[in-house]
Amino acid sequence: MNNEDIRVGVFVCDCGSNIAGVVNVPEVVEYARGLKGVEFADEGRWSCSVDALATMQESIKEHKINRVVVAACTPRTHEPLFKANIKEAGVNPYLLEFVSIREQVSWVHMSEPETATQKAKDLVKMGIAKAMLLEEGEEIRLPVKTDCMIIGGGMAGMTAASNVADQGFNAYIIEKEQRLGGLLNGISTISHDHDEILAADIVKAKTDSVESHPNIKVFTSTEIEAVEGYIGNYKVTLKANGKSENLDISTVIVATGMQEIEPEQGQFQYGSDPRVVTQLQLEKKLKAQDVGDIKDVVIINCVNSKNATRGCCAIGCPVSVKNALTIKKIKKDINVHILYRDLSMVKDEQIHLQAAKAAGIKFVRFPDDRYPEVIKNNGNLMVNVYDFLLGRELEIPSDLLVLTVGFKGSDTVEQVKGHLKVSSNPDGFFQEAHIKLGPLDFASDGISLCGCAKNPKSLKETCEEGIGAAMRASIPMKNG
Amino acid sequence: MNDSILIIGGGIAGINAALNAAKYGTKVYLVDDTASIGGMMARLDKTFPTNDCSICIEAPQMYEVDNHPNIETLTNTEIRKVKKIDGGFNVKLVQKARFIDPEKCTGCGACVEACPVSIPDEMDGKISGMRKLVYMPFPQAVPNVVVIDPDCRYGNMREKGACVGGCVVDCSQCRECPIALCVLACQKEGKDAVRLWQSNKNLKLEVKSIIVAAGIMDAKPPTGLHGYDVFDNVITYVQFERLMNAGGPTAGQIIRPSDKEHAHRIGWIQCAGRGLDHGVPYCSKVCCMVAAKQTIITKEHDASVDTTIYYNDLKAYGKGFWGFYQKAIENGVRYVRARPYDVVEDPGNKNLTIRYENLETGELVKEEVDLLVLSTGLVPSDRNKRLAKVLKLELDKFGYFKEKDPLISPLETGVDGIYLCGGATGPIDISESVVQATAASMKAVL
Ligand SMILES: Cc1cc2nc3c(=O)[nH]c(=O)nc-3n(C[C@H](O)[C@H](O)[C@H](O)COP(=O)(O)OP(=O)(O)OC[C@H]3O[C@@H](n4cnc5c(N)ncnc54)[C@H](O)[C@@H]3O)c2cc1C
Ligand SMILES: Cc1cc2nc3c(=O)[nH]c(=O)nc-3n(C[C@H](O)[C@H](O)[C@H](O)COP(=O)(O)OP(=O)(O)OC[C@H]3O[C@@H](n4cnc5c(N)ncnc54)[C@H](O)[C@@H]3O)c2cc1C
Ligand code: SF4
Ligand code: SF4
Ligand code: SF4
Ligand code: SF4
Ligand code: SF4
Repeated sequence: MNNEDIRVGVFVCDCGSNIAGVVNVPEVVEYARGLKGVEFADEGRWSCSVDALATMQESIKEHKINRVVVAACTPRTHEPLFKANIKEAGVNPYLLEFVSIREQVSWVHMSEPETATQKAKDLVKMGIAKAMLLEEGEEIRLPVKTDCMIIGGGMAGMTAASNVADQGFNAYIIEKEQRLGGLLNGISTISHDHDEILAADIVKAKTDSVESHPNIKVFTSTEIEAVEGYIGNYKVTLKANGKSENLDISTVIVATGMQEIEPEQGQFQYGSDPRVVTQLQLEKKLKAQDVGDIKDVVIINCVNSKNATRGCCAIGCPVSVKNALTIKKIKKDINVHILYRDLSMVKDEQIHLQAAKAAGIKFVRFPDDRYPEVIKNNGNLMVNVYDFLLGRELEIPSDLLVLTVGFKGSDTVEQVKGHLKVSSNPDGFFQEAHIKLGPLDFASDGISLCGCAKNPKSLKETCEEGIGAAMRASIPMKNG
Repeated sequence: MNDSILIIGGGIAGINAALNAAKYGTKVYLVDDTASIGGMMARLDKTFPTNDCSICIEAPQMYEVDNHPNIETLTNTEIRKVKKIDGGFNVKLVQKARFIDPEKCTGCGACVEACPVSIPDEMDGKISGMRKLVYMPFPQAVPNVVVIDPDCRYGNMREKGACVGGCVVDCSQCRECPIALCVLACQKEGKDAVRLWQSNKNLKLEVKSIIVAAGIMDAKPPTGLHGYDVFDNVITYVQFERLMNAGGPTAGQIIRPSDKEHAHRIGWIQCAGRGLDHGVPYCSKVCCMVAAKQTIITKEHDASVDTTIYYNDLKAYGKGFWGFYQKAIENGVRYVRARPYDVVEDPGNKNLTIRYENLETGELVKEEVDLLVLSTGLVPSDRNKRLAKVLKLELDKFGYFKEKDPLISPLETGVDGIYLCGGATGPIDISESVVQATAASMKAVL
């Protein structure tokens, strides 16, 4: 096609007031109309709405447009939509140029309408110039076979594997430890409606079904050495006991889980006194049904969470309530105090909270900026806490002090990032494709994400994500 | 055996269940009993914790649903009878008359313009959103087809000035109409899509599995709570969401119901009604972040507006939530740990004085605001009882659908082949809804 034949259509979106509230859209449209090569330019209130898309198709046909510039929100979420739309109007989808005047203009220059309008004009002009150079392309579809590799054999990974395998696809679980189960191996019970189940029972049932599944192959004590290739065609090298093994893989599910962040030495006497433990260390005692000969348990919530660098640990509140109840069950006359900042329980968690209060567990709220202090007096641990609701300082003795600490991703996160070219946040939790609408995907096709590798969550949510990630990995495998 | 699936509820959960199943290669029927898919997200302004524009990220998915060859969308449709058969279900549905031929309507809006009657939009409550008797649910509605309020066709709007309702026969006996302005306007456009004589349609489907995605609703405050229903300028958090929405009734102007003046001092009462007789007994999970979002956006509109959040607990559990709360504080939003005990109105200027106990200091404090927002939390869809009966499912004591065993087999119900996702399972945010929807679709296609 030579230059003469190029007919650019420019569609500028108001995005309600998201763009039009800042950028003078009619001015941008007028400006675009005057540019070389532009055959048609129009403003849309919501360009992505069904009627606007239909109108866009009509305009494309009517004005015989063969290059399309859309100036709107962001290509991240909307490019596929507009590509599909111009395709329906008979224009090759590769002839679309997307200009972001929301994320790059109206949202960053919210209080400078003039700068914003000028910048929008510049971007639209560049977009038009770029559009004129675009050439037709073709979607290349690579055949995708049916072998899925799951990295991490915790509950998320195992759940994903069984759902993949139930469809007749092959699932390979890679677990770096000697046994499957992850965090749950170290946990005593999981609370559930009105009672509890032993975590060990859940792990055993799941492990049995995974290990006996004809389509699942489990690699324990195994690590990934190298990954090469792209969706549908990864070459993976595994390393176990010094030996290497190769796998041909079509899709990948990342389920590498999380770990507790160890408190600093001396923080709340942690490390310097064996009576100070984390929740996970407490779980070990509870699993053995042996808390020792103790009288006073104090649990401090939100340790190293909800501060300048880290958010809420998400599961600490229900876990502290669950473990407090278990302690009471082991020995009724142990005094248990939970020191907390916020305690908002959803649905059934609320029932556990009430059960805990009925069992005599004491709840003390401390202010956000005034954490309890732990001192050692004649070998006894004392917790000083300012009771926010009573408005006075309390002194609580403690012969078992439990810290509800925050979490971070697995130690292997950096390695996995290198293999798969994916990203994570500073705490080592992987970054999903879209926080709202792409929660189980990575930005690269063919790799999905589930469980606590993304952020801390309950077992139920972990398993839901495992099932969902299996679906995301299966769609390309099912379609071949 | 039939290989298709039925999804009940077309909110973000139903949409994602449908898209995943359809891409997998399964035929999907997506049913919603309102006039458009989209659910709660279509009414929101922005979404926490990134402040993405809600309809802007939802509309492409709605459009994809509309265009996917494997998805058939049935709006305005109710599930009436479900019978378990070998390998699946027989389902009887009723598609309520829209009084429009969806094949012919292009959504041009000529009929809406012509209609002489405006009534308050149920979506916007007291913040004065109005709609015509023939209307488009919202600009991005899917299907993009108008709908006529049945009250008009049945003559109940005659007093309000409706152009029909005076004929000696019932519309159902007509095949053409020389009176109705919408009919005439549409004919003038050359489309002839209005069908005042349309009746309900019975439909039958055979499917192998069913996903319930019936969603949540915002809790209505008990009458009188913090002056709600008594004082003009006490509104709910959904009404506030509509107020700040560029696509809402005030085009994003944050104004008071009493005098349509901009509000300069706005207060939010969190957990409003929680634990009271007609209030929500549990934490609804989202309203703390909704309030953070609403204050941040308010400050973006006009940084000089005073925004105060009166709260007890802060729920900031999800990824990015805590940072979002910190952003609110950086933007000058005031958080006060408080237990409000009453609200009084100045009858002259309609300002509100809230009296509360400051939990930090124990003091009793009085503060005046121009507009008061109640964060009332989430409750189950009000159609759950009926739906549960039709599907022979159990509801939990709060009215959400009960899972058979939330830990061992999440999202499965007491009936084999029926699965749950989204707000149907309890209070939930958008990303969690999408996760559950994806998982439920996996179970349903197998
Ligand atoms: C103290 C505590 C108490 C809890 N109590 C409850 C409760 O009562 N109720 C509840 O619902 N939830 C509870 N949970 C949460 C629950 O344990 C988690 O949701 C769940 O176990 C997470 O599973 P996962 O598979 O995502 O991660 P993990 O269990 O962490 O599994 C990840 C697995 O991946 C492996 N791995 C990591 N990197 C690699 C690699 N590169 N290659 C190979 N393998 C790798 C790890 O070795 C591990 O086995 C609790 C959590 C804790 C910490
Ligand atoms: C004011 C407010 C602000 C919010 N802001 C955010 C936010 O910023 N970020 C965020 O992540 N979340 C937010 N949420 C939560 C979010 O709205 C929900 O997570 C989400 O809407 C749940 O999606 P859903 O599809 O399950 O339900 P819904 O959106 O409620 O959709 C359910 C659909 O099912 C239909 N339906 C119901 N019953 C039946 C039936 N019996 N038959 C047929 N159809 C039926 C309904 O018509 C509806 O279309 C907010 C909620 C509120 C109230
Ligand atoms: S203990 Fe509770 S409030 Fe604190 S960070 Fe953990 S989940 Fe959040
Ligand atoms: S005038 Fe006709 S085509 Fe246009 S919106 Fe109304 S019914 Fe639809
Ligand atoms: S019949 Fe008349 S009043 Fe009724 S919707 Fe049509 S134009 Fe409006
Ligand atoms: S459809 Fe017939 S009965 Fe109804 S308003 Fe028109 S003319 Fe009258
Ligand atoms: S999320 Fe809602 S119910 Fe829960 S603490 Fe916050 S305002 Fe209260």
